[in-house]
Amino acid sequence: MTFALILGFVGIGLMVGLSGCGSAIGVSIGGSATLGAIKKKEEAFASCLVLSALPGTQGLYGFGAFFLLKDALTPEITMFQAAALLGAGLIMGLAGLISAIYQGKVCANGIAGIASGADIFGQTMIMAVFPELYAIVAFAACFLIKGIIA
Amino acid sequence: MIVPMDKITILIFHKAKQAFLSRLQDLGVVHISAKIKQTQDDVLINMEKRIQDCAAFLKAARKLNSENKSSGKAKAQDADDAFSYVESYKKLKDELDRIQEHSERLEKDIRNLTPWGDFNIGYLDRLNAAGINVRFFISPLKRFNEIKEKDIYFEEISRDKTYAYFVVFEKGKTVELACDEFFCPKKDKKTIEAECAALQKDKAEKEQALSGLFSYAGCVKGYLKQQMTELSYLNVSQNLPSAVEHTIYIISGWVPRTEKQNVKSFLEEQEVYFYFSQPQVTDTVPILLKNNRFARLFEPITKLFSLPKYSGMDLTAFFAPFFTLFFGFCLSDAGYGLIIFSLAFLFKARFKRDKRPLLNLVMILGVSTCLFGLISGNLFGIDLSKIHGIKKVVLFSQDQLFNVALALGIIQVMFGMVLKAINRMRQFGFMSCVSTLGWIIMLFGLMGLTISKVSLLAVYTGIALILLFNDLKANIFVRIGKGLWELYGITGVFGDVLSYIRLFALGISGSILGLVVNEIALEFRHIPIFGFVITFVILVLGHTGNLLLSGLSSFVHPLRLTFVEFYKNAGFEAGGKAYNPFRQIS
Repeated sequence: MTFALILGFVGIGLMVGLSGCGSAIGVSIGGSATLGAIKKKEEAFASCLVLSALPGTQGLYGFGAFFLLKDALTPEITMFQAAALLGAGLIMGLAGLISAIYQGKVCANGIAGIASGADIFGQTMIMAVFPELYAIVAFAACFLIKGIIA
Repeated sequence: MIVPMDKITILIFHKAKQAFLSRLQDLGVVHISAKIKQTQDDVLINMEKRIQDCAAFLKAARKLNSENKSSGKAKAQDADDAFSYVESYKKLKDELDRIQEHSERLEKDIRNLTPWGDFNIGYLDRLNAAGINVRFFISPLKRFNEIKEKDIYFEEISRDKTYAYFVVFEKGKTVELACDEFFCPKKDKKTIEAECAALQKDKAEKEQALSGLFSYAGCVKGYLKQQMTELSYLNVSQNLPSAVEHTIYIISGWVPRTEKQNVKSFLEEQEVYFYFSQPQVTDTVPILLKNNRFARLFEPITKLFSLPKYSGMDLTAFFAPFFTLFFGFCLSDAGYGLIIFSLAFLFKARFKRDKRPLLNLVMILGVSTCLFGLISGNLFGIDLSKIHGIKKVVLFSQDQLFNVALALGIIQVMFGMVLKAINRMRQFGFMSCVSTLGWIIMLFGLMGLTISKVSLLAVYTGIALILLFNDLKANIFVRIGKGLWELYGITGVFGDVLSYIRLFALGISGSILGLVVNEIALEFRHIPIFGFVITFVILVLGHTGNLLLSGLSSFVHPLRLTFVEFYKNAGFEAGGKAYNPFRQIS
């Protein structure tokens, strides 16, 4: 069914593409903050590096969700499966995109704080993973969708 | 566990103050609760500046030492010597900065003069004397042709890919040209180059002197510690409250109970009046943690968040096993676990004494990762449940892991509540923990409902306890109202347990990534000669990247689960101040 296949692949495209975009933007925001911070405080680079890497996981969740669901992508795909893939794609893509961007902003503020001398590495890490919960919930939802269509 | 502290108050005669304080500093166990006022005192400000200068010296010495690998004289010699070394360092550094700036300016001048070739500045002066003004212009090549058309005396000196460099001779009339003018420096190129070379030589000499200074790093270190000790002494000495028109000084502080006898015998030797007392509820008692060897490894993690208040509980020993389990669950790969364990084990010898506990922690986390990798069937991304020989080790399938994660969540949340109940009982008596017990009974009842209808009784009992015993001071109607409000918090408990799904999600995503790395690497193995090499490189790079990224997530998410979900349900009170005794800095 051609239309079903199109829907299915559009879903996959949203899933991997949007969450990848989110991670890319998120780590870039963190990375830019890091470059500003090390001008002021060179020895903070290691902790800034760790914080900038935190938004990178949403892209991986998107990819992981694709991997879980890829078995449904056959020419004999049914409309039911295609609709499920589209739904999963929207879930993972949108949650990944927005949570990664805002997680990047939280990390950037933490990095700026570290550059100004505040010892807030641990607290920033904790605050930064709050948005990530929703990407994780989206990933878990994709896992449950896999259970439905398998 | 938080070490119990005793409050100590000492009264000393003002004449004995200096001697007594320095002996107290030698003893080094009393945490003095004097408020340190921001002082305008010149002595203290100068001392703080000296400490900063020493720290800058040592930092620069360490940077250079890591390149030269020369060891410093470790003996702490004369304080004046050390001070003079630091002063010379500052002076040399300032001069080096000036030289750098100057030579950059000179090099810029040299670069600007290069297109004009070597000419004698004297000629310009002679032309000026004859009434001819020489001006230097730089024009883009495209516009240069237009300028050639104009009625001016000019001579092209050189050109490169984009610009033409020419001089214009004007006599009397000023020439207006729409291009950049170059203002020639007063010295010619050769003089500037000679100056630059001289500066470089000076710079090399000064850098040599600087690295000579750094061989005294050990001496400066000793001086720094001595200064810090003295600063600490002065801070205490100048801020002591006094009475009876400054004839008596009052020192109030805290002593860990383990040191009480030690301090008592010391004070009895001195001629001071002192007494011990118990901490009051309103006091800010400093916190010193004491834990068994396993939990001690996790104390740095506790300190990442906050020390507990004295009235609360130190939860390090309680979250330590959970953290280990969660880390293993999130990373769950037997191969990665082995790598982490072996790397930490091998590096143990190389690291200094104070970094060893960190490596022990890493080793334990590696073991946990390896175990979880085996029971979930994952070795470097290879699914172990498909391999006949090892199939039996795999205890959980992916769907079961989802439930295991939730089960771990329920266990940790309930355990937290039990701890909260115990802490309440310890602080305020049995009746105050009844409402927390009500929560525990109710939650067990709710879980038991899936097994049999009998546990409905437990649910009702729990609800009754919550409604009736939540606030011991209010009357029955207020209690019921407050209890209903508290019951609404069950959505919070539900959310907390759901939060533990992240353990499952992280575990799955890590193993999927490992699988993908293997699949991509194996694609290349069919290429004739280089196939093997490419496969190997992709495997190494891919798994290293996965280990680092998943490792980071596996550390951070259990951290958040501990500090948010567990601490909240265990009633952790944050805001403790660290125990920092008045001592010699060494």
